[in-house]
Amino acid sequence: MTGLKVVAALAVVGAALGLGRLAARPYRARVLTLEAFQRVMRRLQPLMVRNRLPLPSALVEAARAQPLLFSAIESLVATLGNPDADLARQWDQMLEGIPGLWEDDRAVLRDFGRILGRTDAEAQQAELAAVREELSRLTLEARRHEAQDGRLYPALISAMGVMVVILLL
Amino acid sequence: MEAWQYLPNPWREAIENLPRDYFATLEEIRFRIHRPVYLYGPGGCRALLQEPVSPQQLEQVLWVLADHSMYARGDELRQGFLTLKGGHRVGIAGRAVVEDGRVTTLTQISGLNIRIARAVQGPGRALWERLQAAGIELGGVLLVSPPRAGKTTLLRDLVRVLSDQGRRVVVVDERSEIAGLGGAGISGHDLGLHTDVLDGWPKVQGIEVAIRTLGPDLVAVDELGGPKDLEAVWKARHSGVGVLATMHGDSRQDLLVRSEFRQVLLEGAFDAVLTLSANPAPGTVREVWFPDGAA
Repeated sequence: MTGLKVVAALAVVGAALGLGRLAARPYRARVLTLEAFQRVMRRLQPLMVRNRLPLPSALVEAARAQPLLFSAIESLVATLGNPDADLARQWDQMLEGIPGLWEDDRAVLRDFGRILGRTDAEAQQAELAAVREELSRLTLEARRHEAQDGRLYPALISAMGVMVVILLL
Repeated sequence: MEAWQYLPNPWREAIENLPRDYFATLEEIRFRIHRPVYLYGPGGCRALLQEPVSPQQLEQVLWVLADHSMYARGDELRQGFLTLKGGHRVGIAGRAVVEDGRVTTLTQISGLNIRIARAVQGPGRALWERLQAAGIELGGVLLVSPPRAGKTTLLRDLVRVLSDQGRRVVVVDERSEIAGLGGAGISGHDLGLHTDVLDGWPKVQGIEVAIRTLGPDLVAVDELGGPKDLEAVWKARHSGVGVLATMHGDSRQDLLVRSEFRQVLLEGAFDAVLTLSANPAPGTVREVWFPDGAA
């Protein structure tokens, strides 16, 4: 009987730990996704401004080392082969499909999608610098959330699991 | 890739649905704000669709033609054109932004003229045989005609013929129209087995680099303009390199009234000057002139 109780208690504590990790996952995912976007933008700048690569090639090249974003960006670029494609709309759809982003993040990236490729090199450089700054701010905010809420929830849920076990015993 | 395939709908479908014989001779597709899109060919012009083009549609068409990359086409836009893969040239009408006497960009785009480039194989060989019969070997050949009379098409075919005969040809393709390069360094047109392309190079620098590094028998350039271009041609000739070139003009007199051209011609930079006409068909050789006898 005691053995059964111990097993049940371990199962409850294990489930609580798992739930806690699950609750923390969006915070981690947001940080990772924003960091990946930052790296893409950093790489995009010289490809667009200095090398003057056409946008489809520049996007693919910039995302090549970012597995989190590469397939989404590759799919976006594939749609640009169709002259009827609306880049801004396709960009929005791509953002909707990328997990981990919050609404504030999407809003910043959506605005960037509206001007991407549409102006001369100087203006694109300024826009890239602005979006990188915004992403940097959002990443800091995301890291802060991860450090606070992302640790709080697992701890709270695990503690609740332990309490349930104590009560049951 | 054909020029109309770059266009968004409804224009792309409308062009694809044109009668085959009209389509085969189509020369230009012109977009103008608040006007229908017009097609131009040897038989005149006709509206593609009756609906006028809005400013937003024109902007969208330009953006798509620029491969969604206006930042990458700044140099071309400043000169009022874009070149598409396949060598199709898009002329752009708009307001120039001028700083320090130099056009820095175009705004308020009001019209686009898509000129369809076609590769025609055959006339180059006939022309070369004619020149050889007249005793012209690897020297300077200048093709002169007004716009849309087939200069670039004939130059392209001449390059292909001479290259396939084993001559090393370097094409200095400032506007990407001769080779029609499509991004990955792949020529959109057949320029022969022994041709290298300096894509996007300004003529003067391109000719110098070609001579210094690529060891050509012949250099081909499109649309000679000012004295610097002529000086570069002279340098090539004095380096033992032949030159195939084109320029705008309607007749021998058009060249001779321009002092810089007159001097270069009479000094023998070109062994043969051919004036072309669009009638009865683009590429028709109207006159072959050997400047040696012109003095």
